[in-house]
Amino acid sequence: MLSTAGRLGFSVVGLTFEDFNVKPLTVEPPENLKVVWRIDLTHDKAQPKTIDKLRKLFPIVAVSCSSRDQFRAALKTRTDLIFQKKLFTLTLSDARVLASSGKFFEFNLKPLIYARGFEMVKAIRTIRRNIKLLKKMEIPIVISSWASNTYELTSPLELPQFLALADVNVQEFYRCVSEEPARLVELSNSRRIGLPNGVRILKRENHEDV
Amino acid sequence: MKTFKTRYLALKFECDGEIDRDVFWSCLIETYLRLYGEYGFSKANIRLLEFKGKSAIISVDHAALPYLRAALTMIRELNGVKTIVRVLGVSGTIKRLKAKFLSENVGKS
Repeated sequence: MLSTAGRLGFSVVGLTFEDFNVKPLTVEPPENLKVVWRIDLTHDKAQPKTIDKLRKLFPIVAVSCSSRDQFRAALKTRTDLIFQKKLFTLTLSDARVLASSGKFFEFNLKPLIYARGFEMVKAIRTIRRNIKLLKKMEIPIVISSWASNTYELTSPLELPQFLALADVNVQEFYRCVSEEPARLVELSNSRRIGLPNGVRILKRENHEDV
Repeated sequence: MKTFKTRYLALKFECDGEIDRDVFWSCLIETYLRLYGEYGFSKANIRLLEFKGKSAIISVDHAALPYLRAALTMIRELNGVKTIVRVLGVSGTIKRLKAKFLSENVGKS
């Protein structure tokens, strides 16, 4: 799967764990491909102590939600990224709270691949509405494939293409597969080594320590 | 001024098995019709120009290009063969498309 990702043009891929009792594995990615580990928590398990412990192991800590109540609860956690396990529409106030929380929002292509008929209609409608609100509130968006096997992978420049279904200019969203994920990793690393908000490391001798 | 502008796409298929031209074409039509309907398909003016092994060239009306690319990302299986359809590049002429994306010397210049 990693070799296919390298062939498709990825330079960094995120690998996810959902069980927080496991530790990141040692993998040997192909040349020119970097692996970033990530842990996906549910809102009830994203307690500050758990997150502090996990941050030492995983560069990115994400939280999932399946409803608006869970979304609001997830916003109170100290995670880096929030994503919808099951698509639901956000409201303007949700987007405002998300904007003030400083979290990234993740969209993934997977529900659209398998949805058919009215399910697809609902998915597109939800994405269209959510994209409009997130864009209005200037919330950083990350687009991912959520691939669990090789043939669910999509090349990086094709990932934002599904947003054409939401009637947006796809070219505006190319940064969601390049700059924004890079910024997310950088911010997560800053939090990991305990830097306060707004403080950045501009240059350091040894990058391996970060 | 040209009234109808066409864009040409170079495609590459990442798959384990063999892919048939007709299977890909019918799958593309089915996906496009499912997403945008007959009216949308009529406006797109999609044509399959070339199909060789695991690469293909298709043409589309320039206004429908993002919609076609969205439809291509939805294709994951062609007649039971798991496939990733990869867009190598887009161009306004076939000559430039072939020189830039399908030539054997791509990336070596």
